[in-house]
Amino acid sequence: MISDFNIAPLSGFLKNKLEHSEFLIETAPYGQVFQSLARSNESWLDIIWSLPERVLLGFQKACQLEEVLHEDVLAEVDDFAQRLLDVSEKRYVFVAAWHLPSNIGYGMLDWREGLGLSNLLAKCNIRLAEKLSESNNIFMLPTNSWTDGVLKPLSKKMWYAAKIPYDSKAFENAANHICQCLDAIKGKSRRLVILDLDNTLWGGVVGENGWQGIRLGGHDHVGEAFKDFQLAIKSLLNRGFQLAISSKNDEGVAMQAIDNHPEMILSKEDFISWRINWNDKAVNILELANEINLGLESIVFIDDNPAERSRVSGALPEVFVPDWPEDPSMFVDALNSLGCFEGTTITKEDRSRTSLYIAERNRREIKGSVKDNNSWLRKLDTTVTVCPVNSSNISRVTQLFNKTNQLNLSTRRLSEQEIANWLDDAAHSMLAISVMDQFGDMGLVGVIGLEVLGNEGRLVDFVLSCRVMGRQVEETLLHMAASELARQGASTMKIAYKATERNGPTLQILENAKLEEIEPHVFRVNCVDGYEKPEFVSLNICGN
Amino acid sequence: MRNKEKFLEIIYKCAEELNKQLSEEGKITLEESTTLIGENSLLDSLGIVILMISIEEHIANTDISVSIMDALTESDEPPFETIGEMSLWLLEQSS
Repeated sequence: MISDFNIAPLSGFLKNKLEHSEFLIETAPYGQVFQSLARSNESWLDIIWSLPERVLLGFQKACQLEEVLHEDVLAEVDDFAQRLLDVSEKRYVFVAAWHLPSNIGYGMLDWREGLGLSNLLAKCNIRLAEKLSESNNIFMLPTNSWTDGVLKPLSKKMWYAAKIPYDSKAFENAANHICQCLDAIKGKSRRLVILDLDNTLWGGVVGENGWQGIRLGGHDHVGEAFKDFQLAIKSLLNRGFQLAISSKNDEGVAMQAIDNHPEMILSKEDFISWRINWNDKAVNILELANEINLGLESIVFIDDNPAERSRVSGALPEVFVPDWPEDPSMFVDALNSLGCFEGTTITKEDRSRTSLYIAERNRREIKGSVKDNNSWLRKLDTTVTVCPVNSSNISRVTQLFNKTNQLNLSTRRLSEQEIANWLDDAAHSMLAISVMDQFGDMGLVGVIGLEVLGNEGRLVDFVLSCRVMGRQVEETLLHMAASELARQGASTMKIAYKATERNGPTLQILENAKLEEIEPHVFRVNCVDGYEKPEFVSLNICGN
Repeated sequence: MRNKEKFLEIIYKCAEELNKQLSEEGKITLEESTTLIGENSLLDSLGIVILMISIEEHIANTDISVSIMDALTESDEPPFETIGEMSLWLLEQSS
């Protein structure tokens, strides 16, 4: 942790919050931002929280209301940004956006272009953000969100006595947020929100009042609160999180409300699945998790009824079941304060995730209607496209490395920079796998990492989204890996399975693939003979 | 309301807040006999400063002005060592 003020309170909060994690917190000498950035160390993440008037000389002058050219200050910002970019080649960097200390500046002129402090600070933050966006290892964090809502965020007395500029509550908020960001990097964010309907997505009980009688929107403060909550939920969908329903209701009646109510924000197509019945909600949630192929630890369950919440949290402790306010006007704030929806990237695949799952549902329906598996595979008409990992796809590849649990040979968690560094070695190569079929484009869903040493090849990474499991994409990847290694001069491909709590399905695939098992969990393929491409998959290689 | 219990409540509240930043072994026990200042205190100098200023600010919200930091730095002997002694000292200062 690097700062030009006394950051001990944040350090203390973080140490306590991360006490049982793999993280160790170290604080760089106080006030030595530039020196600490220049110092080479082996940290995994640098957290930098600086005061603009301390790192930007021009800003310091501006605080004294001296005349400064904004362009000169922005040149200093560029220099600071470059130092951060240099650091980000080796590790992750969290940078707190600059926050204006209590300073009235030019008063009513403070936003005037080329003059005001507020105007200059906004420009500095925007310039910093623009420059830092060159690296996907840097995340600029919103300091305002840490101080908002704190009664007295700035403590002058604490500043003069201990060089601590903020109230401890602001540091606690910062620590909470930083922990959420760490979870996101580690791929631990929640991915599916399962919602109740009555008194959660709308006011009232649809089974009793009919869809015309529920409270949603209109000239009704309660209805407006529910509508705003639906808008907030919809924004989660737009960020790539998925929605499902678990409600004790008659499905036909509930769907009438969703289909017909004129103020309904969420539509049937926004939900990847639902269980609207009178069954135990814990059972329903378990079924939904299995259907969507997500671990319970990826799920948030929101229900206004404390009895249902208690049942689900008791039966499925991995599911995050937040306490929920009774007052619907508090729902949006409650959702925003959950802190489990951070993400390191938003990819094309994230934004279209729900439509991908709906296509998946259609696939399963077809599967149910055909006689045998081969007929289904033929009908899918799957095409696998293989491209080298490069700057255009590395964000999504990094996401797959850090989020994929079940189909993951070695479960290496790598940052974008670590992947790039690994690829700098001439012995290494990596291929990105995209899949499409007659129901749609599933996007980039897999990665294989390869190593060639002499004539021995090694499949280092085999990472595949479980969305495409069971349709011969797995075997196509093995075929592709063996072919690519043969092309690079290898005669054999060694595959060493590294077990984790979650990647049992990977071992199953390797065992079913009829490979030679040379020692427990270590397999070998003769690259000269190759590994046969599955019959029902077409292969498309970039550049060919 | 100016009584010892009111000041104890403020000290405990601020100590509880500070405890969130302290390691398990360094946390302040919320008891009148806990030593805050002196050889037996678990707090380092920064911890003492944060706690005292936090208490000062909380007390200021009740329209009582007490400068704890001044009292600690200006005298050779601290005016209090334990939480209980501090609450009595605050009561004395405020009356």
